[in-house]
Amino acid sequence: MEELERFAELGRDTLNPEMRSWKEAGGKIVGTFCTNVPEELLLAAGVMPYRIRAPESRDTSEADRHTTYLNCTYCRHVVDEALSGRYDFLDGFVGTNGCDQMRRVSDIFRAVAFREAAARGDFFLEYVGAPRVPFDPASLAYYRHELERLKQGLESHFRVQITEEMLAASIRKVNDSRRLLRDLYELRKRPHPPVTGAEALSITVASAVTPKEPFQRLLRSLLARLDGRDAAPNHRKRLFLYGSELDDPAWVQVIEDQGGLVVADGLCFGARMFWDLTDEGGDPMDAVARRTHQRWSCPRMVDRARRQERVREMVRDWNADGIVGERIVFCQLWGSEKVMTDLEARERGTPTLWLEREYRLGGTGQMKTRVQAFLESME
Amino acid sequence: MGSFIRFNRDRFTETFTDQRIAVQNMIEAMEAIGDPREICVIEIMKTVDVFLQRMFEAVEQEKKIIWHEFLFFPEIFYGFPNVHPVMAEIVAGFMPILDPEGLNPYVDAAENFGLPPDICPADKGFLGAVLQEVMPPVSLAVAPTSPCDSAITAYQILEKLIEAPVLQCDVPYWQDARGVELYTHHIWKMIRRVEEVCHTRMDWDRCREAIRLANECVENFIEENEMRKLSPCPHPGKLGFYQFMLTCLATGTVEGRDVSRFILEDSRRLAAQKKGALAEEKVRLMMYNPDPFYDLGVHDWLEDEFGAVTALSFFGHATQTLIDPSTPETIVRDYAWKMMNICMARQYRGPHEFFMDDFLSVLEGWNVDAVIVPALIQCKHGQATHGFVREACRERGKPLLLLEFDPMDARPVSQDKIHNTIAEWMETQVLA
Repeated sequence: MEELERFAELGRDTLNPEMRSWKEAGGKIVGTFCTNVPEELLLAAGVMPYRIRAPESRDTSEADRHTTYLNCTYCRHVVDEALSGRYDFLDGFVGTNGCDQMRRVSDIFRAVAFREAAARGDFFLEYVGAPRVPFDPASLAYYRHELERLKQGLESHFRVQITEEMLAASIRKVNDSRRLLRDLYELRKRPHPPVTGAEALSITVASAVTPKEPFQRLLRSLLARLDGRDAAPNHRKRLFLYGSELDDPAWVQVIEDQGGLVVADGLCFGARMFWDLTDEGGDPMDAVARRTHQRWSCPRMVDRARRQERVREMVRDWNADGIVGERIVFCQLWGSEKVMTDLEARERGTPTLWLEREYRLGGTGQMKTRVQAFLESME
Repeated sequence: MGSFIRFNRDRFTETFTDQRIAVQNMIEAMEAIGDPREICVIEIMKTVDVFLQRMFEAVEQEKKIIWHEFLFFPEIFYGFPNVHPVMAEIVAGFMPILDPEGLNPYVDAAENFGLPPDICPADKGFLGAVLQEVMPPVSLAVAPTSPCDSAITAYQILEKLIEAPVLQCDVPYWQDARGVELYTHHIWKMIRRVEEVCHTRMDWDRCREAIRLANECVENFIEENEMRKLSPCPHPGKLGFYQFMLTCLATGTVEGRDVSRFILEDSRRLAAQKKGALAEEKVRLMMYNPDPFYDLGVHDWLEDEFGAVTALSFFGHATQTLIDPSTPETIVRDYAWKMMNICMARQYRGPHEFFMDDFLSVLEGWNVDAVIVPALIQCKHGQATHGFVREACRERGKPLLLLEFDPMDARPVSQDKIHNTIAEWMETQVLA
């Protein structure tokens, strides 16, 4: 389908055609690593939020002056791209302490990669120090203050005043994207889902690297044409895909080529990114802070029981036969989440398979064998 | 809900009786050898013995036991009647010191349970000890969201394993007034939770007394740190590690205060006599990141083999602050601030400058000739700080060794390999 090809194209390169058009029209782009930095605030400042990826990176020789072979390869590749000038189209960067490694990558971006640009005054640099206890009022207040600081920084750098109305409007705009993505995921509950997991990931990845209007137009067009489509008529099992940073649909395709259809996910670039909506009533800054701080969490948050409950609901509601977990080697958060997930899944009798991977696709032979064995074990 | 891991009296008794015997044997051996570098270590190990004895007594007396992560120093808990604090990482912290292979069964238990090898051995050792049912009983486990991802998630796993509640307190990213306010809130929350779970009330007079003892300990360590700027450095390199262990276990106790006083007086005595760990210092080192727990003798070896003294180590760097004991409010606020400033909590959170500022203050303040930075395999933020460390040493013309090892498990990198790597560096970079 044309729309699906277009989504795949949007995620293929670091700088996609829609971003080029945005820039050519005088638009600004600010990079982030993690949804700790809410899109709503950046949009309200008139800039395009961009989730930093490294789809074109081939090695990490530049990065390894700062990182080592014991760091996760997502971190190493994005550092390499930054030091190689691949993100020179960015007008700013907002770091955050999503995990220990990304915290240091943010440091390297700030103190090395973008230092000169920021010193010249034509590059926006800010940081959001996110707390980790989601339902504590003081932690929420701390986080809200961080967002207030970010807002002030955006206002000062981009010479804009972010009013409550502007923020409320951007909340609605981001929620529109989220609702469309949720509509797409709802369709995947069908016995014969109209999109595969790989296709769905290409769409969610595109949502994180494309201006909202063209993205929503394209997704609406796709949703209108999906009725009656059976994306994987011969699938053997329905799978829930859970894990860390994964922005490469080809990795999901390897699983699906073995007959395991990914019907839902809990990925950084997937449902965890968009599932929860921001409250459209009340104080908009409060709403953004609450939504982001209390959203479907990753294991950086002290939130195990609620997180696992989400996994349980997704597996149940999307009628998944098993869970495939993935983590990038050396990711400690997801190394521990693997244990927490397995403990819960065992109690519920849900089969699980965890796959370790590098940021770039590789080692697919072993992966195929393990997925095949997993599918057979469920049959 | 699956079944919880419960207190196993036999395994607990066997494990910690063995540990106590090992501590006593270590003391006896050090006394017999009579190396003057070990005078202070002997006193600290005696305190460890007292700590273990008190833990047994608390179990026997059925006191409410709190497992606290090592980045909560115990003084605050001494204010609660009928409550006894035990550092949760007791097995991970002690075993490798007493036996280089001592932690391996616990690490293996955690890995067999599903934890990947690249999780910190402190957390694998802790969870392994829980899984092996050797830990004392627990009424409440408390931990800060510090020092790293590994610890944050270990306590989330713990919550699933034990029936007792687990409370994790939010450590702020920034080092500022707002951060103190956040952490103070969480420390108050912890105090209320202890009261609720342990059916007790904080006795602020008792707490105040423990705080006074802890404050003296801090003052003594800060002064001892200053004395280490002298050449010759009065105390040996390995003492820093033991001092940190003492603070984790015994700040807020009379024994902790007395030993810190002993160490300071010993330092003054040596300085007055112009004596030190080495009669002639050829090289002054810093080792900034945790030492190999199973090879604390590496410092002795550096001194004996190369005339190189570790002027200050990471664990030995006294960055703690004092607590104003005037009111409950000042106690809690300053305890929060202190816990934001103790070793690891201070340098390992926030931006890289939190680490680098302390690193540079040691490099420049303790007259350091060369730098060893343990590149701990599992310490991911540390691995990604190497570029900054390398640049800082290059700018200052200081030889640097990024020394890779697992701090508590000698299997990935052996003691021999550590020594060989250091020897090659010393011969080719430092002494050449």
